[in-house]
Amino acid sequence: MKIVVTFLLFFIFGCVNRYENFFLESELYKNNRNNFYFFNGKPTIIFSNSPNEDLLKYYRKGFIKIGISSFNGNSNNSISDIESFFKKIRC
Amino acid sequence: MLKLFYGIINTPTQLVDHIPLLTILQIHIKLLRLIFLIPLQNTIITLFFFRKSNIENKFGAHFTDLDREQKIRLKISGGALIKFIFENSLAFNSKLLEGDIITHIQNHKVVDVNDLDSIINNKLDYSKNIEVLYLRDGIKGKDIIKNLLNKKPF
Repeated sequence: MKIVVTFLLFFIFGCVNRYENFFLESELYKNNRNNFYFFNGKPTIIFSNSPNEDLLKYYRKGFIKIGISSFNGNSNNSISDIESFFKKIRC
Repeated sequence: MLKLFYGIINTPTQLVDHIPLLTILQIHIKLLRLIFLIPLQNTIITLFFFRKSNIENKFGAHFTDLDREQKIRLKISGGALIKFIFENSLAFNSKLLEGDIITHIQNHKVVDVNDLDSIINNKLDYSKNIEVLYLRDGIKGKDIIKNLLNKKPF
């Protein structure tokens, strides 16, 4: 029974792109959507264990935070989920 | 029992300057959590989405207001704290550093961030040298920024 419930939960929540569901857009981005360079490629994904330092580094390069997603989950499908969500928010 | 730690899943990707979007993936890994008696590796995932901006920032720095404790400690009533400085900008080529507090710029007194933004966008004469008075660790400093980058610094 426990295994059935586990698979059921996985089926229900496994197909949802949680990056999209838990995305919180920044106010700065909302008000300045047109002031960003157009980019049609894949996003570059940076894995970081010192986010504060890395954030500062990219702020200095002229990057602006457009939003944040945060949730509990499994990272197995992260990359494909990020890329599919990115296609939606880059427009 | 719950144990938290940061995990590096991959080595940082080299960022190429012209790529205008990136995401930073910050991962905390929770271990030893039992759900339905099955050991499950659960992860808190936090993503910051970034895009390269083409918003012009004439001075080349981002500022925040001072909080009350900072004002009391430094015994000042106003000013703007430099949060970060954009590369290859006017501020980048000056003596200013992140954490400095700008109090005066080209003879304009800085009250807060809105005031400084207004000065930078409307009152500064970029054809002349820009004199900046600042506080660093409570000690007054002065710098004269020469506009070496012509018209649009950032």
